[in-house]
Amino acid sequence: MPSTLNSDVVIVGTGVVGCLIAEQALDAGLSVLMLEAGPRVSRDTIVENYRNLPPTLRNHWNAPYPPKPWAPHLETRTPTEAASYLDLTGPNAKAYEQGYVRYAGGATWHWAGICWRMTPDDLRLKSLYGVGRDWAFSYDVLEPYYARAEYAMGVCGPGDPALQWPPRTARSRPYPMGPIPFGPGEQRLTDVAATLGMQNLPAPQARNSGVSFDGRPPCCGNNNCFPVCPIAAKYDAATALPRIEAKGGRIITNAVAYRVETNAQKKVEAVHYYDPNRASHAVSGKIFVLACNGIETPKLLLLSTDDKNPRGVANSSDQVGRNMMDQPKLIADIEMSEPLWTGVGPVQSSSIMNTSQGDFRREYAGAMFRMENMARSTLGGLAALEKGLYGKALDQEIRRLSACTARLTVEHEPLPLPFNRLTLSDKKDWLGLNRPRIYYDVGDYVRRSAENYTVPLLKKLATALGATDIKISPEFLHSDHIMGGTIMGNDPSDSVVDADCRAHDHDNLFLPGGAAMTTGGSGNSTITMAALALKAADAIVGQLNHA
Amino acid sequence: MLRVTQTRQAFRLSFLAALAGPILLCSPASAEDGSNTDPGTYIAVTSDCVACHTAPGGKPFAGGLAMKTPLGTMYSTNITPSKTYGIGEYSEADFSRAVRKGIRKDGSNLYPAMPYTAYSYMTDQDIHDLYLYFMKSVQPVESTPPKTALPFPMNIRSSMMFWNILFRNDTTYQPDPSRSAEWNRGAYLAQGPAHCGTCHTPRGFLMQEEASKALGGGSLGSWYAPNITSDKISGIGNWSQDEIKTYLKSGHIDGLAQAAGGMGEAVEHSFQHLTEADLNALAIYLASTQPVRDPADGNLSRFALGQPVSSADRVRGNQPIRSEDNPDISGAELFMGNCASCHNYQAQGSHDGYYPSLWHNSVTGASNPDNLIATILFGVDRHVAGAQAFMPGFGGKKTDAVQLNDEEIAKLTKYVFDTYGRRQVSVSPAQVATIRHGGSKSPLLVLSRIGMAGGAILIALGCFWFLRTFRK
Amino acid sequence: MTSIYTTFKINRRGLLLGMSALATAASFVQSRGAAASAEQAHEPDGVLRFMLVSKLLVPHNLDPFVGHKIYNALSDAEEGFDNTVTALQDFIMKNAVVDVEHLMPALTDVALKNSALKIISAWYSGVVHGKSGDRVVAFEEALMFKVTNDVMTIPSYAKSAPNAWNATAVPLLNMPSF
Repeated sequence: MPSTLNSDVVIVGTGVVGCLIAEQALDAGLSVLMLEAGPRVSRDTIVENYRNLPPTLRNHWNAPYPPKPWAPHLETRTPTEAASYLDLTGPNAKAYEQGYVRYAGGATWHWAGICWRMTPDDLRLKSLYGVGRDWAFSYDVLEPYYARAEYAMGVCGPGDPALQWPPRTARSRPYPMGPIPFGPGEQRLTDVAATLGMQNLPAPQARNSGVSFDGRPPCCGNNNCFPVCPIAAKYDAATALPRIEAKGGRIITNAVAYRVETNAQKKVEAVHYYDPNRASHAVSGKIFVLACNGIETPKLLLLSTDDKNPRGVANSSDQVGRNMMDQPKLIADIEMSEPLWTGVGPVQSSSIMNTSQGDFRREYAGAMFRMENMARSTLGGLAALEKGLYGKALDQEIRRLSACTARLTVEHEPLPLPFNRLTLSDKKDWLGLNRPRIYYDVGDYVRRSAENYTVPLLKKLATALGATDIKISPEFLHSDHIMGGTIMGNDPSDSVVDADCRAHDHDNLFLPGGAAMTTGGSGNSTITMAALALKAADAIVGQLNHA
Repeated sequence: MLRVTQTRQAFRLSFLAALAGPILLCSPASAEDGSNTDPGTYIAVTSDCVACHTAPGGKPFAGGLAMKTPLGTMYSTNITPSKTYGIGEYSEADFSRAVRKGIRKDGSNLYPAMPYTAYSYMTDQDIHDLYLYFMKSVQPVESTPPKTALPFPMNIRSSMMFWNILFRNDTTYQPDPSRSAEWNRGAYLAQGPAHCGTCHTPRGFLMQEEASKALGGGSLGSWYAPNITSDKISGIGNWSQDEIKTYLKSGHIDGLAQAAGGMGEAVEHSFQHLTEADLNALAIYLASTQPVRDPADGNLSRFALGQPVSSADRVRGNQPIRSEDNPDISGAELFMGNCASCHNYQAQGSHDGYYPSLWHNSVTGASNPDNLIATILFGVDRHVAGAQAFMPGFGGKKTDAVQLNDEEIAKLTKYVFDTYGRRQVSVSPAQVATIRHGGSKSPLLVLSRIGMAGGAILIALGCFWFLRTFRK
Repeated sequence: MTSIYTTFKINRRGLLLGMSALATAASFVQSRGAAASAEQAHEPDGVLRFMLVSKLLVPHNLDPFVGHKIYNALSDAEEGFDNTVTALQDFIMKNAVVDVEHLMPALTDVALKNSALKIISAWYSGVVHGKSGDRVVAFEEALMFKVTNDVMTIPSYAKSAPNAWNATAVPLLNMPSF
């Protein structure tokens, strides 16, 4: 079937990774075509969706993004919905209920904007601690890309090196903007944590601090980073879409990629997609980028199984879909006698990172601790009403519950474990495509950490905050940082992509983003995904310019 | 993109440093109020040369700013002391002739986009100081900006000679002895260096300022420079002198008005740096100007219209959760989704006044919707006293994160006027399109072409008649 | 008795004014608002009684638009909601109840008490649990946000000028008036 669509660079996915690469390629004079499985919806529609939700759904990050039938994503409001797309199994299935968004702009629509870089040690787990894997390169190689990513997205952060992360490493450039001020809750946490040797740092965050950036306004504390920043003060990839189009990029929405086609020379020839009428189309190009997130990318490669690629595209190593990672999370809902007052400023604005590093990582996982900074007025309101209160007592109880409760979380660094595996489910989606089936077990490394290290520390922290009641989640939860499914490495026999996120098996196929991450670290994955995207973009531009 | 921001900030700093020279650097406190600035720097700031003669991100005074005028796009020139590309070869007399008469050293005419009709009021001393400033304090820039190429017949610069005969003022400011020294200083600043009338006085058919409606409000590309006469309905006759001063200094008075577009730039580059005495003088003068009443205003001042009304009441609870945009979206929904997150759901603004209320606001109280449309399209970006007042544009640039189309902006504008400001102001998508593309074009261009074609036909007919007669 | 009677009279007058404003305003509210104003023509007393009862159950400033939406939603959700409101009103008048703190312990009828709690819940949470799921009647005006509005914003609305917030903890006892 002749292709009607053609472009130098074909990018599947319009999230942060796809958009960063699209802009780099366009700036280098290449033509770019992007495919997005879901719809393109305006910010005002999503903001109003959020406000029109009943209060119990307003802290469900996917609720303002109802999926199209052809581009389902996880909905967990009811058990039926939770079982309706991701086919999850294994001892920690709940820890892989990943809430990504299949809309133009992707999951950055509802990310917190937190941009912790990985540390030099995070990239050398095998040689330092004998666990996991080493990355294909050292921190020095990644650092300039981190800096570029911070400028591409507009990341604010402290200028004081003592408050920067990773510690004692040189930054090639300062943060483009200064830090966002703390609200009362974060300040209190910082002071209390310090007494336990835990350093609560102002988080680097892709949020405009005090000034505009890229034509987007500064944050004015709307406290709604998830599920949607109503004013685009937080970077999300949807803000890049008009710029990509202004530079000549083409974006086709409601186009569900379902097959990657290779030729006899092991080059990718085309990507095939379905439109909402189930009609198939093909797109040809010189370079193909799959940036559909850590679940959809391996799924698409496995869906593309054919004679030439019996285990799926890019899968001679049998590593596609293995090593699925996320930071297994535990939460502690606490109640205190004194007000803490979270909810002033962004929904997340600081974290304790020094708990993620140390020699103990030979035995168990490091972890990041933080406090949610969501306004707790809705939770307080609903809980007080639940008690059947009225009059002054009702007002006082709402105020007390809003001020004197908090949620602490701890997110553990995962190891790449080959048995944590994404395969094709027998269950099909609306288009008849196999749904992703994922087996997930957080592993002993994380369980030991929780048992010996993080849960005791979490209780200590809660007690130091004056907690009179501590409820810790009975099982591990997801952090929505999907990593590992097309793991990066120097050895083509046990990894899927090389140091530039290029498939070992197909030199014109790039699989950048979270799936390429070799280890996960304890921090949020997006800034590393963005750095890898820019590194891949350089390789793509170099490759096409040499061709 | 950050580079742009940084460069702009760097530019602002270097601009202030360049303007201020060693004096401001020695006593930064005086940067607040130009009382210790040297006279050349001060008159340059007052005259706001930099506003037009510097391109975004460009070097100070190197020109190249594109100005969309009803007659076509003009580019400002390099007025650094570069001998090749700037005004380095100008004598003080040459300089004076250019600034006050609109005639370049080579004898050709400037277009009156350069406000020489206003600068013609400037005193010899100020011109002298300004000349020394350009020659000694401004760094020469060895580059030439794009050339202005207006369409025929406006490209014939000598046509300006006739325009000058009709409209140029030829004497410096003559003080009115019946008025106070302060009033005279204010009048001098307003009519001369600060050139208020260049934007605020409506233009006549030949693009001249209409003296009878001085400061009565005029269109300026996408924006509208409103009536600032002392009229109590149409102008600023109800403002106190303190309010006028505060506005010039900050560009923001809660519950009254905010400066954007050209006025935002004027506050940023010029007014915030003026001395207390000069701001007072301007306020005194502006309170005394000849009132000009716009009949369209009826008996309603643009500053006191509207009230808080909950837009949330109009939309909440009757909308589904959508996976695509509503093609029939209402003005109220557009307001809630795009504006209310900062201006709040009753349009009351933020409690600290950073985000202004949209009622009791000159933009929504105006009879002319241009400024509300332009603000929605292009936003606000005003830097005053080291702080930024910012609102994003909603589609005026193709790169804006949120893109509203002409129809949506028309609906939104109409809704905001009807709900929070002056009722019954008409707004059409076509108007939005015009403002998006830089404002309405002057009929002068077409008419002059028709006129010239008509003239040519007359001459041809004349020749024909003459030849026929002669042959007979 | 006298005092509560006076209070009600004032409230009633205020509400009547409010309702006439409502009727005017309803003309430019969208379909639901228009329908509501039509309904109101048939049963003005129903909404009015609901607002009067609400005023005692929820001693704060109550938005008549929101009240109208709550009334409609509860009328759909509960059989004979008008009778419930009338019963509540009768009980209040008969027993000369002065505030909700005295009313609730005195309400021995469990069904009536639950209805009263539902009304309170709707005003605070902005949602009514109906037969066909949750019906959102308010977000911005939900009273649960007012209780902490000196510290935190209604999510999605600006707190202040950029970076203008700080870490000062406000005392719990400083209850905002609303």
